[in-house]
Amino acid sequence: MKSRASCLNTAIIRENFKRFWPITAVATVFWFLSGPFMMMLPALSGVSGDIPHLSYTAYDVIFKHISAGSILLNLALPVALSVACFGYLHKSSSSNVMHAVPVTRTSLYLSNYLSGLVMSLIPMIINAPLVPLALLARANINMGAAALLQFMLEEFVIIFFVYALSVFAAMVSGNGVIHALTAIAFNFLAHVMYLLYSFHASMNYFGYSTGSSERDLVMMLSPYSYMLETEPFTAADLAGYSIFALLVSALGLAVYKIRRLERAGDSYVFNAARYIIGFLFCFIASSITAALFGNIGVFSYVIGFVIGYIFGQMIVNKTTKIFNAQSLKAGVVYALAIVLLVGAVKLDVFGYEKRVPQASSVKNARLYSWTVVNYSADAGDFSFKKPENIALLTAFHQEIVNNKDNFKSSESRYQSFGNERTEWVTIEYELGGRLHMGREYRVNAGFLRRSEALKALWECDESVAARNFVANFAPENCEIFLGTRPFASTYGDKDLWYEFIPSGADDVRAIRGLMEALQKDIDNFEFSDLFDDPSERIIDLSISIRASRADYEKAKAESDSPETFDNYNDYARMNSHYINISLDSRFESTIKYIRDLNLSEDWNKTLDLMFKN
Amino acid sequence: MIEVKGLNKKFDDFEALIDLNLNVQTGSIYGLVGVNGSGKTTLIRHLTGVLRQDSGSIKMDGEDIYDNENIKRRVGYIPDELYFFNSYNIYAMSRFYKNLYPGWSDERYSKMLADFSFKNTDRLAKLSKGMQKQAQFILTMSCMPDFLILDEPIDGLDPVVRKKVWRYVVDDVAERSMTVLVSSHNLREMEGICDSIGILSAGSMKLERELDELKSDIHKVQVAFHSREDAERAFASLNVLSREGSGSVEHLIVRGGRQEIENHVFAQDPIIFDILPLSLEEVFIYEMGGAKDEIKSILS
Repeated sequence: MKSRASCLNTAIIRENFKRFWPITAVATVFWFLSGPFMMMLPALSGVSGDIPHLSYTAYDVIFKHISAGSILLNLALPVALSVACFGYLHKSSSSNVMHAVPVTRTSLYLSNYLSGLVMSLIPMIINAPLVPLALLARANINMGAAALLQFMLEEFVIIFFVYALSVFAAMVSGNGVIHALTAIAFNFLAHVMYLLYSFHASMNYFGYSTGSSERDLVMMLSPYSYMLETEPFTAADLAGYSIFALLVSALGLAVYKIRRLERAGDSYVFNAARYIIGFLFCFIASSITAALFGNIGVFSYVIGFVIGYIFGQMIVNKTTKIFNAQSLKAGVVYALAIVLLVGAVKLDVFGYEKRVPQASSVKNARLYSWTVVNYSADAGDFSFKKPENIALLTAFHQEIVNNKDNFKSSESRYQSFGNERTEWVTIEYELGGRLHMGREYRVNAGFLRRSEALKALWECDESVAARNFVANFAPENCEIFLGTRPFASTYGDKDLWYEFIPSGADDVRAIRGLMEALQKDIDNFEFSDLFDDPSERIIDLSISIRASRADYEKAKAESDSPETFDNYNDYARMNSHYINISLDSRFESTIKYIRDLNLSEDWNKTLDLMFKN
Repeated sequence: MIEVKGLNKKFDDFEALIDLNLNVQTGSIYGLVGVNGSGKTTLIRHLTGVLRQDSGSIKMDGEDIYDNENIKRRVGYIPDELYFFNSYNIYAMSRFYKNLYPGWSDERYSKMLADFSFKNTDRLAKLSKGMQKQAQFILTMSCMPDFLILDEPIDGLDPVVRKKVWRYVVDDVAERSMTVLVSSHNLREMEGICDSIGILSAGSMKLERELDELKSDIHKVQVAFHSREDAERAFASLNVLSREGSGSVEHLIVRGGRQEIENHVFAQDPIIFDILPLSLEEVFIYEMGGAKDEIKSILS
């Protein structure tokens, strides 16, 4: 009987639970086995409780490192239950019977919606409280009630979001197979479209990089993809996703009320869908073949288009007889749309290539280049913050854009680029909020050498300060690794390596000395020296800078879950920075220092062999 | 009472129902007859609130049926394509119906279960099509509906079961004034059951009459006169739909009241005069202007 207090029908809900409980039961067992059980397994078998690569949220522990199965379940279960609970829409017989029973459309929708959602959440609700126990048993981590609640809330939002989209897919699809496909497509369509855009952009745009906001925005579109990218969601994230899921659910109800039930069993319910599905098949297939067979030019698109057109039309029309006037007319429209889309990218209609941000709109900026900033010390975290330096970087960026035609041969990723050395240059701007912009260029080394803006950037105070190893890093937090490369000219053709570990005062002194020698060499370099042809005789030097105890204390104080910061060594290891330097004959002070350390006879003879002449 | 006025429904460019009118009196059985594709099932899906009309109105006891929970609680429906939940037996399915229909009678359910030789544990998916139809009939009739909509209900049932089914229906009409609309593509099945008949063709109602009225308005007459002149005088004053001669004896199909026909014929002093019974199929053939293919089809 219908509950008078709500629009829910308890009979429908009860039957759903009676019919579909096995799906939830299997998922609960799967969740348990792939989550808490998997985490506890080493502890149960008496293995050490350390979790490799431990990150400091339970969420990360479970979903990014332990249980890929649970990630799959967050998608598969809501989709499966939406297909089960709304499956009656997709057959003529069940649609007739279920819409003839004394339940309003609203009540039918809400009752099925709620039963599917609750059944999707049950595996998580049963298993989540076991996670703190598993963490305790496995790694002696006390998760705490707040962290558990946060974890459950995030799970709820992800499942709710995926389920809402899956139910909406049920409203616009005609049969069960198309419903399941549409549900998955709705959750990932934006991502797939971004991939296609990214493919076309990387083939056509000078300087295209995925390091811009578009990628982040696409990943943010769904909590399912965003969870793989981010720290625990903020309250605003959770609220935003929940509101969106509610709106999609309400839209689903509105669509249900105008849904044409006579279309049960068809591929689509609304006529517009046939054109959207048809177009997507053509666009995706032509993009894939363009990627696979790009070397045959426009025919690579044509092959995919024809394949996509045939399959798409067969699916939407549910027949193999697709070559009729209506289908062919639609095919012409799809072809024109694809030509327009690809043409817009090829001709850079949106001005992607010319876009260089105003220096005043940039909060901070990064420049990656093997030659020029390799010696900037803090492993990719270094950025220009001063307006005058940011202005230098945008000026350098503008120089690249203005010289686009000179880099054409070197930009191609599929052709050789002659005798001149080229180099990848990556520029990233933080524009405030979550907006950022990235570009990646392959340019001639000669261009870099001649760039006054780049020279000024190299010599600016922020760069100089970043290169100051001695001032920036305490030797007692640094490990230094020396190694020869395979097939290098070493004494006796041996692969040599040596590790400086700061375990005692003598070691720390040796590391300090090595860093001072290195600093002396780098300080002596002029900008133009950076572009000397590198020697083939190289020793790799890698400095691993562990986070200091002060950094650890600071991070712990600022964390929402300070209880997870109980181990400095783990934190320090997880937060190491690395600097890699290739020592060639120009590093005279450093090589002399290493030789003076008298590491071994092999090392001494190798250094003589490599650098004496 | 079921009242349909000016009902129109289009599926894309196809006009499934065109300005359709239909009236079913309370406590009567209405036979909806038409060839396959004439629109019977589409009309029934409107009557059960499954489909929404493009225009026109469908009322049951004065209330719109579409999305009307209250009136739907009083409607029992046996569709042409049956649907039961997977793996359910008839008892589990009966609990579902019991929870949805306030008029549900456990007593009726038990009686019918025994009457149709069913067991509570019978799994519906494993039953034959005919048995499934009986199961659906038990479930629907146990809801004790005020309105019963049956879409080709006796297809696949053997004669003994058909008889049982009709007995339950007729009893409920007599005892509870249940209103019944039953569709069929075979007119003969409707004879002896229905109070009224509607013939649907290409989405339009071609004819809608009470059976008694139909039969009292058309008569088959066997007659012979002393002379051809007497015969022509008598026939001139009658509405003759069909005339066949065999020697001096003529067989006529005449529209009009029995008394009126007798008066005209006796005025010419016939040698032989007899009014013969007409079958329902003959009535329809002559009402609809001859034995067209469509009429032949619903009579076959």
